[in-house]
Amino acid sequence: MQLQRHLAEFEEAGVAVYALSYDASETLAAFAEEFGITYPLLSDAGSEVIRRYGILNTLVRPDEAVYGIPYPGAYLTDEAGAVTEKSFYRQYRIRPATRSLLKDGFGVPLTPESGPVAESSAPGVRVTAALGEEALVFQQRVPLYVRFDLDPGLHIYAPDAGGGMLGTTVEVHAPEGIEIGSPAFPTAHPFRIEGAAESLPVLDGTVEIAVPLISTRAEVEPVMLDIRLRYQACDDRQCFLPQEQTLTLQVPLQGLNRARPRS
Amino acid sequence: MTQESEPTPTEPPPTQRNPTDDQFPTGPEVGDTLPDFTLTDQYGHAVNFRESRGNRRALVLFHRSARW
Repeated sequence: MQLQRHLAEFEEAGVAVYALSYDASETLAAFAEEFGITYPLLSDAGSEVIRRYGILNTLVRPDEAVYGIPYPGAYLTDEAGAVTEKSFYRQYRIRPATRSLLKDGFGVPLTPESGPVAESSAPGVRVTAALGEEALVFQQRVPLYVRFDLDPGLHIYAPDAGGGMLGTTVEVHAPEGIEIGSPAFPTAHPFRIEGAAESLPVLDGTVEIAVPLISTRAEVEPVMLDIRLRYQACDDRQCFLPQEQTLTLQVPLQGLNRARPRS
Repeated sequence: MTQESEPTPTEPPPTQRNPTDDQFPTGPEVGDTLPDFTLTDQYGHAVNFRESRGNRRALVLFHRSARW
């Protein structure tokens, strides 16, 4: 399981991990054994905690076998136990992926070794695209990170910069069954080019853009992503040529792990 | 000649279990202290959230089920 693979990173970051479900502890024991799970899988048989938290799925009728399930989600807490972030999704199967939780939830940087990476460069600019996880897991939200490393003094423009400047765009093209969300850009800051009348929103230094991806493909053969970039790097006096680049990233797919009932 | 019947489905019939909009309860809010609990883990040990967490931060996940 994904979380288990990254458990050491959570521990190193000083984050305790707990997973709760309404399963009996015997079911959880079988699941833990089959998938080698060592973090606590906690049995809320009777759904007392689920009810107390107010997240019992009341769309399930009490006479149904699965009555007692929660709306699935995750809470992050600080050292004092206060919620700092939570994520609940309407589509119950779409869960935030583990490494992205570490990065976005706890501010723990990803170790760059894992996951596929593609690169390109232009004068003063290096671009890398990396999947936030080793693979796209079925119906799990996995971010694709597109990172611009700009030489000091250079900037690129926010998507809607205006002023006749080329706004940065990141477009991901994928085969059917890969849903692509809107790219999330970091906050731009205003910058005025020498002699220009108005300041424009720019990005500089390391600019990381996250594009959420969700796989709904049943097949598990790797897929190719085309990541099309348009940007123009400038300093305070001049601009390099506008760039149009396509990075190609091969991304492994992974099905869901399910516990099999004990025979 | 008897006609072979369809195998009985073993999955429960599909019912509406997903909220149709974002108006569903998501429990404690950001800033709230996450309510404490004591539950049995996969090794049969009782785990208390507050004590075991100590001064660490926490990730608390609620899953539907490990079985399906």
